[in-house]
Amino acid sequence: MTDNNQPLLRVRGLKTYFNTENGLALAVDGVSFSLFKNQTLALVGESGCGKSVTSMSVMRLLPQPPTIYAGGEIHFDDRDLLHAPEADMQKIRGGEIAMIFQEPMTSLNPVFTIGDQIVEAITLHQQVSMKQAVDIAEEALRRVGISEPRRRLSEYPHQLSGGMKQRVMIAMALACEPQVLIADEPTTALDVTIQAQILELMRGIQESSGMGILLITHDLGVVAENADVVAVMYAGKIVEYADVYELFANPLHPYTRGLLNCVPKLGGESTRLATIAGMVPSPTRYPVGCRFAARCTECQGHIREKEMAAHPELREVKPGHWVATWHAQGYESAPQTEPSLAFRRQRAKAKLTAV
Amino acid sequence: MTQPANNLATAAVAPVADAPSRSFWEVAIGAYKRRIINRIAFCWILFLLLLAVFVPFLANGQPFTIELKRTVNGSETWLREWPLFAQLTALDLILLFVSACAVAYYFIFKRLGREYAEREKRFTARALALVIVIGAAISCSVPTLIWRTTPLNPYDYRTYQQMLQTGDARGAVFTVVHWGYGEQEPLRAQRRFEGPSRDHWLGTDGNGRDALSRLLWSSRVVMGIGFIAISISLAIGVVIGGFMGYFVRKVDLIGMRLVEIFESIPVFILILIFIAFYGRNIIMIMVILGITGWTGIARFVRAEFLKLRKQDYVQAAKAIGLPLHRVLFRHMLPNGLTPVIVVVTFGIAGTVMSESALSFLGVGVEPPTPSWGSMLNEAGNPAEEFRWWLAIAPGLMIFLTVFAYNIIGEGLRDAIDPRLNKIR
Repeated sequence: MTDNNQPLLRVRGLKTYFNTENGLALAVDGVSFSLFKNQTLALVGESGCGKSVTSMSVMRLLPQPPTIYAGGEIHFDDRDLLHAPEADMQKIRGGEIAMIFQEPMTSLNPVFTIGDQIVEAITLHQQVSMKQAVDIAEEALRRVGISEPRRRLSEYPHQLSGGMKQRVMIAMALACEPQVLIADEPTTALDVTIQAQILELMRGIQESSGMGILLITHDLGVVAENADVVAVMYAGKIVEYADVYELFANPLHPYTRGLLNCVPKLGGESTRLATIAGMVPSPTRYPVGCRFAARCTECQGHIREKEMAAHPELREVKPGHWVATWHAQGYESAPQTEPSLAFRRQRAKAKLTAV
Repeated sequence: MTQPANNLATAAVAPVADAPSRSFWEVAIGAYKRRIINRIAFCWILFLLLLAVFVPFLANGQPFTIELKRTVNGSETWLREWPLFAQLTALDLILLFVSACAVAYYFIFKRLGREYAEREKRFTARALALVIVIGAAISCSVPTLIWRTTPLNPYDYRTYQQMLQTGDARGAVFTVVHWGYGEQEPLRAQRRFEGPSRDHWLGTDGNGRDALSRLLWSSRVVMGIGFIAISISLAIGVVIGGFMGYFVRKVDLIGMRLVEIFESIPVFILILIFIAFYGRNIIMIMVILGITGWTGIARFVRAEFLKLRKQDYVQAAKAIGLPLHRVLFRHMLPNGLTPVIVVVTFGIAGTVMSESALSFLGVGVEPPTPSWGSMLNEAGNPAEEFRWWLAIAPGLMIFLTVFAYNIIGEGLRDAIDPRLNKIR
């Protein structure tokens, strides 16, 4: 917490499974990452790869009967969140780790005013009087850039637009000054200009408070603009982990390369959109070997015995660049260390500049 | 460095319209009021409520005030007495006080406005109102138990008229309907079953008591049974339905079996059995109606909660660390209550019908407490003559009341669901 070299949140080998009618769904199967102060870690991947489940597992928001936390540790504040009692978790949720969700249109309770909901969040975690709580709420709304915050407190969610609602959600999340903010696709439901504003707002708040942001998204443009460290997920595992410049400059995993290829580029000659052929395997029936092998352009149908044997683990093939594929140069001899980058890129006000 | 979002962001969210914020219920009630019949139905029920509260001042055998000639220490003096007020019961006073508080509370609320900063004032106003109401209820009950030292006045209107004529009394002010409902008056068998006349505007019943006065006093019984029985059902149904809808699987399984058991109980026969064992008791009837009637509410609440537990704001509420009971009852319940409101109004209508049916069969409220059903009973059986004045008036009242509740229920249902998809 105080030491800048210690991660705020350290996840090691997290395994979250679901008991379904079709069998055990291995939604998250051994995920490790570390989030440092003043850093934005982006979890990227397509739908169904386990990004949201990872974030919900960190907050222990998944209901216990179908969910099984099968293993791993989540270190936060010298505690293992997987084994903390529920009362402690309720203090941590909102107070130390806050979360904002994807759909701002439905994230606010329609029968209460904005003020009611923010003040509730504040009074839950801080010992302040009602008057002070109202003032803190107003200040939080001002911080996120909502005009006339005093008036907004008496308004109902249906009177605000989507962008404003997301700002209110951010205000609610920040009112108690958490150390970690988990943003689960915060801008997917918003249009592009509002998206830019919201992300800029989050960056600004991160500058001033130094919190760590775990940004979950499937939009690589958002990742390029906002992330410091990127973890690419596929089929419940992290397949590549590097800082953002390194990832965009040298993507080593065929999946990452495919994702970068798929981004439509404006202004070029219009050709067919690129895709990654095949489908994500079902979480209840993962193949024994490499889970990406069936769609891998490098394998091209010639799946070798190495890929058939087991899914490759995340190895540090270059300093600060982990990848989980046999097709990376130097993979065989790479050490298997814990992915952790205390890296905070310098964001210039201008466009992205290469390191 | 700590610029709270730059100018671009602020400019983009400048307010456009300055309309006052309307809550969910304000929008619904606005849509409800649009149809005239809804307003009429609501006015009728409001009229019945006011009647239930103020009936001692509308239909009472005792005058507000009268001067009686009394012999004090040997000499004759005129003493002004206030018989009506002296004989108000605790229930009368409680109802009066509660209504006064409700009206005052409503106006204070309106004046306080909708500003969020004044939330504390509203909260204090609510707390104060509750304290006053409870304090009034207690303080009203105690003195009336104490000061009722004088015996109940045996005089009725006829006696007062005689005294006025003989000069033993003067300066009497009577209520509009100057008969009581029969509690204190001697039975006047010679006046039974008279038709409407100048004295008795709706005639008399089988015991010689004024029919109009009994009609007005019955509103208390009807309103009381309706609201209390439904309150009990609501309390039980919401809790059980909420738990069933939120904790699915085992709790739902057990809960649904409980619902099925209670639904299969024949309510009428249960009441008759209790009456056979324990005699007639209005409280018992209310409780039994309440305890057997919660199943419909539980089903609706369960359905709503099943839908609500997947809503984003429920996840968000859990994500800020709210304990479970607050998520359930503060966040989910207000959103899930909309079908329950409709079920409650229809439930009250049903309770009114049940109580009237029970009284008609002679197993409802105890005499002399009047009820529209028991008045219908006295309207006549096929062997004797048919006393139309005892059939039309109570029958019309029952019909209008049940009809009004049904209209309110339908109006609310229409106002709540489709209109709110297009807010304003």
